[in-house]
Amino acid sequence: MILLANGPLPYVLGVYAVPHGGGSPTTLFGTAMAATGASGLAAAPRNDGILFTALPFGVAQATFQLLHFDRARVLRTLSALPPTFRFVPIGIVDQRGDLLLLNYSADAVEGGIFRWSPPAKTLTTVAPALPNAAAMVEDLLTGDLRVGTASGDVHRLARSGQIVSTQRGVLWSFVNARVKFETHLVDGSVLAAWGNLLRYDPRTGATATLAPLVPGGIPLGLDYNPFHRDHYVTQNVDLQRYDITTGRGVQLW
Amino acid sequence: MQTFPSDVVTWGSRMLTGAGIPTPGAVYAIHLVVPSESGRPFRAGAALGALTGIPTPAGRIPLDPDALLLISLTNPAMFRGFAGLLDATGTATMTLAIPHAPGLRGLRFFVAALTYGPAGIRRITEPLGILVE
Repeated sequence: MILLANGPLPYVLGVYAVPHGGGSPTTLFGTAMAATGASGLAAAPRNDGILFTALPFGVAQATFQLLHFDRARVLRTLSALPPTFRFVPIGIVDQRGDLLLLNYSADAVEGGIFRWSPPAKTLTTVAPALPNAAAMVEDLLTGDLRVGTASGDVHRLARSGQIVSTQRGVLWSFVNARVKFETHLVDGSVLAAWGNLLRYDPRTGATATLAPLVPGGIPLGLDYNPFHRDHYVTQNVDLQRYDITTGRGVQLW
Repeated sequence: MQTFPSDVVTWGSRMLTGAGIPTPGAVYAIHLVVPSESGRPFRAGAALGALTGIPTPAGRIPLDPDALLLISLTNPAMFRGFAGLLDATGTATMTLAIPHAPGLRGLRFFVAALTYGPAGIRRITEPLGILVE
């Protein structure tokens, strides 16, 4: 099952499922899919659940909340996030079972990586002061974090949060906060989506284009489906499935 | 409370996840979730590498045939629950008793699992990378 969340950006009005073979989205939560399209993607999630951040509707001075759409049936609030959290483009589960949240901000102080631990529901800072950090994955081979910025740089961070090195300008010069990363679990490279689907070798900094994405689209989700061993990219009102070995894409919706 | 969710963050698009801090002397939990394989037998292993793997007709097992793989398949006291049956929800929990050896800090290794039936291998998981902290 592929789960989508629907815009208009930056808000999402519903969560939808699309089968692996493609077809019209089925509404799981919220209002019917609007023409503004998807704003997030989770492929074959564990327990068919996803996490996302949200603003409580109609509450003055509200802050983002971390939500869990459990088993594609129950919506639960896990935690309120600090007011400095205004855009969380990605969160990944790390080896401790914690959730690492990337808070995007152009501000030199607010942007960074934060650890949310489920048992205590505590939020701690992993890597502060990462302005324009927009995408994040775990490096399969080393366990380090690879963080892409909206200016096209990629930082390598140790698990402690310390920046070990930075590769300048390895991504497109025109990427923005919507660039998406995903670990390629077969060879340890990093897949990136912005304009094209691209493979980035974190060890050498080399990049190679795998497939063009829909022109003018904004990549809103990039995820791997371990059951079918393929990748999914959603852009606006478009959902594609890609075979990374051939670069061949199939439009699902 | 009515909510307007914002961006979906990727979570749980994996069959294997860890829980706890993998330090020397710790018992580290690994959860295997394959809902479509409920009640099926599974086998898991660990290896120092994941890129070469072991080719099978059902796909590549992302564990290199190295010394750690052999140890993981023959040492159930350290690699506890690495074989068994998935429960009715397709879930199993394994634990890894990490030896109390400070020199292990910084070691990176991988765990993967497969389910099987009378006709052979059915599902092969992605590799879960673990760094001893």
